[in-house]
Amino acid sequence: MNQRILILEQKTKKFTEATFHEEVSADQLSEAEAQWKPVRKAAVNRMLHSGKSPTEIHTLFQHAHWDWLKKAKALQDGLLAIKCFGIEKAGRWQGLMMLQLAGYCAKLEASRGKPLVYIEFLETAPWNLRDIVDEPMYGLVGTRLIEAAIRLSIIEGFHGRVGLLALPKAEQFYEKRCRMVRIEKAGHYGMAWYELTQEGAAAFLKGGKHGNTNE
Amino acid sequence: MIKKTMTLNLTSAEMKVLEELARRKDLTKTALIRQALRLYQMIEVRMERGEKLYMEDGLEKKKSELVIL
Repeated sequence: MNQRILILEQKTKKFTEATFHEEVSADQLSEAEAQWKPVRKAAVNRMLHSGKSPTEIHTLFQHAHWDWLKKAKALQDGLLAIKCFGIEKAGRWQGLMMLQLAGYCAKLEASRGKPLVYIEFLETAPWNLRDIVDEPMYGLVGTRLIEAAIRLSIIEGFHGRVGLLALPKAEQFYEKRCRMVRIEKAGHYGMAWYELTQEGAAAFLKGGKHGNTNE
Repeated sequence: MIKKTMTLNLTSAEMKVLEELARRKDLTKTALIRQALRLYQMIEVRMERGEKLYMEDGLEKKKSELVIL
């Protein structure tokens, strides 16, 4: 079912309506990839032309290699454990998130071993990223997707617990804006494990100090 | 999402395990069974694809293949 949500139009700094999709299909992932790939590629080329080294580009744009076409395979299998959410505005995909509902557990001592919603991938459209374009179009896209992951966690009986492996570039967002707790020893592949507790989830939904009003 | 209701018949021993796991995982019995179904399906799909499932003893570093019939 689709819902109307509010995201932030960066140019006017005003809220604007967008459509939240709670069941993104493999075809829709392909559509998003077709919209995003040329923008990602152009951004990398611009950075190369401006004299940035591949290492610098990787630091600024760590997910430049992501391909939602490959991720679409998981949806085609029809797995109950996999869900994909998306936000669409003006006929273009503004953000996507793939979640796993089974196979991942909390690592924080207080809730160790208890299930959580694992965010496998979360990406905001490249035209919304400050490091990629001079004038990003929409804000709050990542925040709305995190909010949706928390709400799903509550519906599934996981009490708002959410976990993920963060790209270094995204750590600030998860730590400061989303109130997630970093667990040093639980990371993999050069990425840190971040976890949202039941209390952190409740605070996020209330829109507290680091809540859901800014991105 | 529309949900359907079913009656589940379990032995006392099965019910005891269900209740204990639900308590340990901080889940309702329904949520626990839904988790079990997701995991079972995920394993089934991957095994059908030719992948294997292993259990590893962290202390002795022994690996054993789990065969699901």
